[in-house]
Amino acid sequence: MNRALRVAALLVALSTTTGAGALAKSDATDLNSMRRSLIRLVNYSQRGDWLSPWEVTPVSARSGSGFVVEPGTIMTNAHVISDSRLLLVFIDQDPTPYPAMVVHVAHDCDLALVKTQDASVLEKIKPLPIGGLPRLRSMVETFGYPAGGSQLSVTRGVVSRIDDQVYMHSGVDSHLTVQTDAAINPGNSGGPVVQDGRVVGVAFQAAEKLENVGYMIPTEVVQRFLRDVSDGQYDGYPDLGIRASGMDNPAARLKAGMRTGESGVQVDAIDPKSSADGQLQLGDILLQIDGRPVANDGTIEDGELRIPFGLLADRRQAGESVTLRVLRAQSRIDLQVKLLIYPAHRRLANSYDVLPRYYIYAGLVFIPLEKEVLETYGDKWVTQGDKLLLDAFYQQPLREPDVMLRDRVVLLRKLDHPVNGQMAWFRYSMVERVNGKTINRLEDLIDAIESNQAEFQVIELAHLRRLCVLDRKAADAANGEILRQYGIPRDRRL
Amino acid sequence: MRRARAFFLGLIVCAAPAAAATREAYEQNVVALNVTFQSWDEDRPWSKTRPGVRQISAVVVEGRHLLTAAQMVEDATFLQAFKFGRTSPSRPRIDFVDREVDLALLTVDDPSFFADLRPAPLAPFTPTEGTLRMVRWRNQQLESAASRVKRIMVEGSAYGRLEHPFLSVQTDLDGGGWADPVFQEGRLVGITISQDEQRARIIPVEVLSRFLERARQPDTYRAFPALGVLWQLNTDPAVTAWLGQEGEPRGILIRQVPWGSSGCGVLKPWDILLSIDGKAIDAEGFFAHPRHGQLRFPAIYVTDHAAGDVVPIQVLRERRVLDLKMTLRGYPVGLDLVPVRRGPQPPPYLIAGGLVFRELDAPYLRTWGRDWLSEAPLRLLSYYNLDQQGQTPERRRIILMKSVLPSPYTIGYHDLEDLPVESVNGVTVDSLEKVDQALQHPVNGFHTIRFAPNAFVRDIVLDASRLEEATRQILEEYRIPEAKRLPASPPPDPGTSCPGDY
Repeated sequence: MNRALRVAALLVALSTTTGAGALAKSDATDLNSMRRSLIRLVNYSQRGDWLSPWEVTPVSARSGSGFVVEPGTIMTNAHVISDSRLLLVFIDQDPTPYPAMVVHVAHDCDLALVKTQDASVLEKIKPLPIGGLPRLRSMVETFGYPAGGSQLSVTRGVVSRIDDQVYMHSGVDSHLTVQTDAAINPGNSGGPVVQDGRVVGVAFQAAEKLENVGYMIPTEVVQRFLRDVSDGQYDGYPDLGIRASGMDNPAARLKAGMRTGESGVQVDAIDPKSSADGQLQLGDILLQIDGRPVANDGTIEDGELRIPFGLLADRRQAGESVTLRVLRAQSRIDLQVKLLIYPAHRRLANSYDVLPRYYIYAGLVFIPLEKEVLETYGDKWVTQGDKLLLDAFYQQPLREPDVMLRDRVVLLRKLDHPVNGQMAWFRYSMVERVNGKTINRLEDLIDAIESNQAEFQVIELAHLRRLCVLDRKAADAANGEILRQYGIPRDRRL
Repeated sequence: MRRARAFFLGLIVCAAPAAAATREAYEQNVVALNVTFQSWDEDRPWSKTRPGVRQISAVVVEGRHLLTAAQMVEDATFLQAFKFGRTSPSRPRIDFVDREVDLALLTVDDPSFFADLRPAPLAPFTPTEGTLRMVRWRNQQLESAASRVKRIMVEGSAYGRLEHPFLSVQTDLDGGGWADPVFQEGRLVGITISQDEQRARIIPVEVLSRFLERARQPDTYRAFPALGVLWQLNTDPAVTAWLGQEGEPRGILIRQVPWGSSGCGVLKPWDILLSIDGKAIDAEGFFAHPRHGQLRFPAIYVTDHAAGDVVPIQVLRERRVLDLKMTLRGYPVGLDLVPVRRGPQPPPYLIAGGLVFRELDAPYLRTWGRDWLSEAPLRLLSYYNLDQQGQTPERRRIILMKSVLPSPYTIGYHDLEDLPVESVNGVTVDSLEKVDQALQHPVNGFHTIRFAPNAFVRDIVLDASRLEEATRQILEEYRIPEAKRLPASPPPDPGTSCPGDY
């Protein structure tokens, strides 16, 4: 059992020596009062296979940590419970596995809420109280079940930095993060980080190339998640939808017409159909958000910290508004901007809890362009992956932001068969047109192929005018045989 | 002693020029070149890298010339030629270079240099089989190693983009590939251009002899021709049926016809090119060569014709077979959007107030190391990978803001690097000259550099009144001799009659 347990989650392992002599005894948390609220989770998961999208990967087991955050509800990391087929929870010092289910998951901030299928299991367990943001240099304790062990591990560390970081689970979202000097190891991701008996963070990731650097999700992110789901569903983070650059150069400020003492950032790009679209303009200088000045480096004063201005939007729920003061054509104007979730942003993120969409025709495998498609190149996909595909994923949205609003379909691979055997074959190619129709969704491609009554299916690829043609009748006739031959249950998943 | 040997050799050469050659003959055909070279620092284009030395071979050819590989004498600052038994070198100079075929012709002004050397007789054609001798000088010893013919095949030149036949041999020579000549029965059949373990790649005699013929009249030199189009295999009967070709698929499918290429104005995308110069091309791009069997189609014209020749071609277009004429041109390397090489030109650059501008070219991309095609930034590689179709009249080169030399004048911009520039002061720029000119015309007292959308910053602004002084201070601070080195000549102008068909 233990050998089969693949530990994929991350945990914080705090140094027991760093700064120990300087610690006040009052920092120590009453262990016994906390233990019953601590949870170990084992997730048997299975993901889609983006190279053979009709397949799924073998089942893998991984373990993580969690804690009771509300009566009957466990909080853990999204990455602990994602792609779950069976989720078991173990209450500290209780060897019984209790089947559990995910009630809310936020892949964009790596948090999730879990309940046991038998609600009475958690009934009598007291939630851990939630605290605030720990101060720099203050001591914290981490509770969890590292390295697949079933016994509780408690470690200590110092808060060494507070700033925003990319949350690796989604790969694209940045939120406020608290860094400790403790090393983080797989296994107690989702475990509470505690100070003075209160949870001040949820351990979630580590810096691979740095020593003694572990990260926790601070309670402002935790609280925001809890507020978001209070209406019964998780909506996610709204986003201004802009890219901005600093105004540190005096000439840039002078040209923009900024007054002495005024500061801000310049709007460099606006995502189509985002919160800012139609409100902000390229070249606007964003001076204030909700009356708080934006510095020339893009930060805002926030208590003892300076945080990136975008984090202010992070703290809001979708549908709420912010007031932006911008400098535009020498005038200062206030804009009420309703914060929207920008779903196109998710197109760049890692996918979880979904199986890949695909369509197979005449042995040609078509799939929407997602990060997982790039990752089929293996560990070195960033440098070794197909450059045209990497360009389509990362660069084309900068040149043509509207492409983010639609599917881009990839001709992923070919399942060899006489009907396609002579094709001058271009794997990992972006499809531009099929039978003269521009492809904006996978469904467009299916429709263009299946509604075609002409003699040929003509597939034009996006770069360098590459061309594939199939004899339609022969291709239609071969479809069933190819699926049978390659053991593919269905020709599509939409 | 020396006289006696010369006499002896003379006898052999006179009596049996094509007979089995002796070491003595090779001693008179082959010289060693010591090349001291120093390339430009592509990262700091105002300075040069540390000098190096390479030892290569050259072969004596008719007309008191030495023939060697162009890339191996590129960036040479000092050349020395050593011949048999001599420790005192002579000083050759480069007479003529064709980088597309990677060949250089050198000469030595001192006529006595050639007195005891003999031009290597050229083989009539590349052998299809047999054992060859690969020869070089090393530590005053003549090394002559057996080398077996493996195959002849058409490939892209390592130094240019021209495609022509290369001979591949399995050699016993260790560490070869440095322009070492290869002989069969005393006749030159090629020179090595590279060697990977025991496998050597050789520019064959057909290419050498055409080069030598034309290089002797450098003023009227005609380039080796290239088709210059993008094409794909035409093996798929479904494609050919769709395009209206009956019977077995044959010919190649044309995809894009770049500006300035031989095909420009003649070929169109989705033409099937059936034949060139009367020689039929099969669906994988091969034709039947009378001696070497199936070779890729560039072998039809690359040595039998020169730029400027008109050849008949046959294409299938819109279901009709057309007989057309095509004027052959060299590979338009100067028309690449991201040129694969710059030749002898030092890297052009322009420094304005600490902003370092340069053109994007492959020599710069190569600063990302051996795996530059993987490791260089994607936004730069995309120009190289996506825009293989080349320049258009509206876009000649990609201009980069390569880096920013830190100073108080450029505060806030110091972390910016390798950003493609779209315009300067509102003027679209596709050459350093245009950047230079646009900087003469600030708008309302400011210089505004706007980047292409794939940069993560939209624009940066500089105080125009302080630019000149800031540039002067930065040059002084960073020990930079000149603020700019503009290209010696603009990219070639193939005219507007054919803007390319992409």
